Amino acid sequence: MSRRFPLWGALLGVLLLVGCQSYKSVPFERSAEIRRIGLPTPAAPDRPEAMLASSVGQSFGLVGALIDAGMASERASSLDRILAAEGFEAQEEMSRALVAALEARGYEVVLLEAERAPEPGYLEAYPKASPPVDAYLDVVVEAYGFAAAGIHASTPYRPYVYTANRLVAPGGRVLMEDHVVYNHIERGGLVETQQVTVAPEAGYQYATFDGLTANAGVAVEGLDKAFDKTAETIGTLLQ
Amino acid sequence: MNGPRPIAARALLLAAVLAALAGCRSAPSAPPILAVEARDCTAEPVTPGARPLPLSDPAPGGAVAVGDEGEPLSLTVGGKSRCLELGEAGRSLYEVVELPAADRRFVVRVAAEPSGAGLFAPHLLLLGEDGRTLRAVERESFLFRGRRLTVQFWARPEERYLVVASDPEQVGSTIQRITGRTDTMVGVTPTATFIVGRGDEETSHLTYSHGGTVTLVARPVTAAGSQ
Repeated sequence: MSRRFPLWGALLGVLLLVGCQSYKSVPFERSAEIRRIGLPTPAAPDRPEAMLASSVGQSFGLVGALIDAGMASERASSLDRILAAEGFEAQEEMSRALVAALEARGYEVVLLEAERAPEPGYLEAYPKASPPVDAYLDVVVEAYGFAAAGIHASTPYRPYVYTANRLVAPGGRVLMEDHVVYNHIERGGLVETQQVTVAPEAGYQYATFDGLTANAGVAVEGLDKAFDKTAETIGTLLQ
Repeated sequence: MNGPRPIAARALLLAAVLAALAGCRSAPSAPPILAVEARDCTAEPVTPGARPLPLSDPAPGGAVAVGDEGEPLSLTVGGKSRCLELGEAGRSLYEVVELPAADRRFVVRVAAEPSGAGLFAPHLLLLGEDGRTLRAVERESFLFRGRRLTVQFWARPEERYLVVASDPEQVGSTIQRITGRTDTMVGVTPTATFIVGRGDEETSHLTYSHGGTVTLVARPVTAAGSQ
């Protein structure tokens, strides 16, 4: 018995450390030198998530966690099918939204094909652009889909998008770096102070996952708006 | 000696308990300031009496974000603040800080904290040594990081003062923010340890105000690959 507490204590410690993760942030200083931005294909996970930030299973140890994981995987697969049927593709959607956000702020945008590693992360090298670009905007969609803080109707599923963003000069200098999160859920009482947080828009919420699947078209419209708003916020960081 | 306590003693005990309980209640937040009372206002900000903003130590290992830079300078913009007369736009309350004289570039981070139902409507002006306005930080540049409305920018060498003013065109407008959160409780009994998670969601309605608490930090920042 005495061994159980250290195990759970260690688990809790790891969770707290994850919660205390520090994010890099470098503000952008706009100058006339940055007019044309190269936009490599954004990174994105190969499928969406339908995340329950807290659930009954969390109270039942390893067995509960395994059941939770199975249910989450089923929801993710179902959401993946819905998005595919509605023609939603995360990389294309983020590219489209970013082009609109950057052009609205006076930038010329050059779309660039980029091979992304299976695990989303920043590019190590940037593709050559023709015409040459003044900087590269490297956008990583770390996760997206729908998230609910809990299992009750008062904590409905809402669209969410987590991104990491970097503007890099052709020589490698980081001109801007920040994280933008749409529908951030504060975990374990830790109040977010570092990432840019965009509150979800009311009107696209579903008390249950079945309710979401029954309104697939509107739900995907909500996810579209979440990508638009995230891209607009990334644009704000570059104005 | 062991009989019932006198009524006066009981009343005193009850009063002490009630006073203690009252002390546990948090002080009510002041309502948002939606108008600046008629008083002496100037057309330009004045800089004498500006509070110095110290330069924090560089972040170990590179760039950091708002909220991770040590003790910030805290300002209260309110009834005792100076007043700007902005013509048709109206009046604005403001405080001035003196930027650090540094031999290297630094980032200034400004964060407005919600107070009750109010949130300071920020408008920033950067002034030169002679008090002339060199530039303004646009309202659209402010973004939420958690519950705080923040902006961060590189200070330029010619900038000497930062004016933290209320934006009369924004004061009175409201925003709604939905925030989900989870709490985890860990219980330990002689035979088992258990974790209970709970989700919750809050919709806050904030009104932009002439007054509020603003924190500022100035810090050199380096990023991977940056100069």
